[in-house]
Amino acid sequence: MIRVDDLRKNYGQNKAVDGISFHAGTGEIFGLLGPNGAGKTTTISIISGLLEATSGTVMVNGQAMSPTASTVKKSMGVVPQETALYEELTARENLRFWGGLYDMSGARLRERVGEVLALIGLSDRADDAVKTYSGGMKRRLNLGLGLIHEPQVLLLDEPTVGVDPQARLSILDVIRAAARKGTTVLYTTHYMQEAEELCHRLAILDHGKILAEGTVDELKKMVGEGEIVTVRGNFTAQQMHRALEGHPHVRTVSLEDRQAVLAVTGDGGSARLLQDLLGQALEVDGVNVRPPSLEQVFIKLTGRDLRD
Amino acid sequence: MLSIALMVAKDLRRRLRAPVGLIVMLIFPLVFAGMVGMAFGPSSGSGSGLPVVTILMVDHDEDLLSGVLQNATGNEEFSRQFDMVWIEEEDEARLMMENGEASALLILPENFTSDLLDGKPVTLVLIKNPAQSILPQVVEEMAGLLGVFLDTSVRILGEPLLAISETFEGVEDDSSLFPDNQVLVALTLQAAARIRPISRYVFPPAMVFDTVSEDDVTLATLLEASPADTVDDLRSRQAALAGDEELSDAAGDDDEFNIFAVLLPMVSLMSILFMGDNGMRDLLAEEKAGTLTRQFASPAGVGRVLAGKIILTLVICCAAMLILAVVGMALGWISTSISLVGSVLQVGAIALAATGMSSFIYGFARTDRAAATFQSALVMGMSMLGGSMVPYRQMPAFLQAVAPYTINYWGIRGLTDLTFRGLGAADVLQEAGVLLLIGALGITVGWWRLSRRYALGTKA
Ligand SMILES: Nc1ncnc2c1ncn2[C@@H]1O[C@H](COP(=O)(O)OP(=O)(O)O)[C@@H](O)[C@H]1O
Ligand SMILES: [Mg+2]
Repeated sequence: MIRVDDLRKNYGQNKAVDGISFHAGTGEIFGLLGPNGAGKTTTISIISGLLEATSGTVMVNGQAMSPTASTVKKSMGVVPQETALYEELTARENLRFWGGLYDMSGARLRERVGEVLALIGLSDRADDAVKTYSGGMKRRLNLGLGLIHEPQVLLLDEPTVGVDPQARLSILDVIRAAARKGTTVLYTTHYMQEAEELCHRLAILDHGKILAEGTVDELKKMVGEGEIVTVRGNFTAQQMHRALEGHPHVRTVSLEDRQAVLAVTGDGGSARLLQDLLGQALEVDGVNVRPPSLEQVFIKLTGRDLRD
Repeated sequence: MLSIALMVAKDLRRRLRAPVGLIVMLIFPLVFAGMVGMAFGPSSGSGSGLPVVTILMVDHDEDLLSGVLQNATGNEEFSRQFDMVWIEEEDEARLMMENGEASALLILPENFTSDLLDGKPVTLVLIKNPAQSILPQVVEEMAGLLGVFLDTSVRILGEPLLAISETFEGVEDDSSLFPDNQVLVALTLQAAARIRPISRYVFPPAMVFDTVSEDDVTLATLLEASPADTVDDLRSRQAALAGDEELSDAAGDDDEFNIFAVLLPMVSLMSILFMGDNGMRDLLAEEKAGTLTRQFASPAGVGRVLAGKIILTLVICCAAMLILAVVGMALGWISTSISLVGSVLQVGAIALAATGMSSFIYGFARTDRAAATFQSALVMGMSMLGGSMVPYRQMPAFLQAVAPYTINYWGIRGLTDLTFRGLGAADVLQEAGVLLLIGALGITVGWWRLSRRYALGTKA
């Protein structure tokens, strides 16, 4: 398990991590969701003992983490954002080396290398030099290296960036399997859908601060149950605001000229809202009705799109 | 401790997968010592044992480079070993090959010079005589080296060479067009400026000639030896080169003055200092690849990673010295009966000094560029002052006073004690001691800087 308390990291005036706290239990996949520059990598670097925090504490399995805490490091698997592999060596040699660094050897190491190769689907290319691999294969090996010593805690920094859909699915499966075996997983991403699919609990991170934390369902409730209605058309924010008066089941998620994102509760609420808007002679070009997603949560919390 | 061994083994394995860089570094001292030695050693005459290799040359280029080649190979010393026959017609040359009249046929294609200078791919055609085994292989190796050399030279010296080529255009028809000295000096300077930053790839003793004054008896004057010189003339110059009176006596014993026993230590030292870079540079390479950070996140931590790289450097330097020694012995350049203990001591000390220098450099340099510049300056400077380019005894007194502050001086002194003077371990204690001290100092400073830098966190 991982417990982070009031963690801070300043780069001069820049507060890369600005007082974050969270807890991830055994077998849990905990997500840190946030845009580029939110502080995800900085947080993971501190937890993995690569960076000294400005203040705050990190406890891993009840022991304090620091750059020199080698017993704690031994129980952790770290998968960096950029693939970190020896390109001249084969996948098997890479795995053997990292296994060795974590005190594995002999038959146990050999067996585990075979297991991990099968897990990441590289058994048939195991003895080819890594430099001949595709991007997706390298990503999978990058993940495999973090798993070789069966760590109790797994830290993953955006492991699916730039990966084709198939490799992505296989990576997510491997992570789920590790969690089922009791590994605590900390997973950072800026893909909302991925966070929704994978994480048991997650925290939304922006500018070094946690804006909200909970299960996916809990977070979605922040924008309301029911449906998300996006309306586009030739109207001003003010016109829309007036048109919405007297709709108790409609909450505004975001509102600007030409586009409104609304959360609607109650059976048939969306239909009633649309009839009403059309009746008020608002010029509507398009409507989109969806169940709520983390995207709206993020927009509601920050007032901007995660993709910006 | 085990994890350090794993790291070193991993790094050595990575090197064996891509050994070209190291091989080139090893080849240069051998080739250079071989060239200089062959040209001026008495063994280059009839005594070399190898039969004369006949090479047919067909020149479709008739430009700067083929001209240079023709001149260079016309040199008397070269032609003792190689008989270069320039044939006008390709058909005629091929016919001669079929008749087995030569070991190999090398064809310089049309526009060879201009294409090469324009950066276009050029192909040298080498036809070997299948009836012979060794000799054509010798030619093939040489042609391969020539290819590497020309390719590198053009990459580095492209513009100056182009200028030279233009300068010489039309010279044959009108001797008044021959470039005046000022143009040549300007071109030389331009070329030298290009050479400096990449000197790690080009073996630099070619620059010796700039650095010696006229009345010194040096390699340079040896290189200028005229064909009319008698063997005795050469011998006395070699003795002067080695700079020790006992030498003539020592040589007198078996009547075999061995210039390689002097040349190999000189060039080896410089080459080892360049090679020390190969281990420590890995820190930057691994930093870029992300594997450095990943190792820091493992239980091994910063200290063992650094220790691993330092040991790797030491191992590479020792291995390189060992290979140079073995090849040197196989070629008969150094005696197989030199003191084993002394050699181990001296070689280990040199390797440690080279490692120390490299640790020191990477303690300060944070980029490949900075390290390369720093290293070139340091190695070239020490090589010039320390006797890798001009033998210590031939240097002016004020430079001799500086020499003991270089690694080269102590390295060469110890090695020639062993290879040339046939002395033993006790006689190299002082040299080895100084080198060990230099090494320990460099490693300490490098370690201190590097561990501080990495403890603050690598790039996030
Ligand atoms: N080594 C560093 N020096 C200075 N600023 C840094 C450094 N590393 C990260 N930052 C800054 O800290 C903030 C968080 O960065 P990071 O943790 O990499 O975000 P993320 O991983 O979420 O994209 C950014 O503003 C970034 O510019
Ligand atoms: Mg990041």
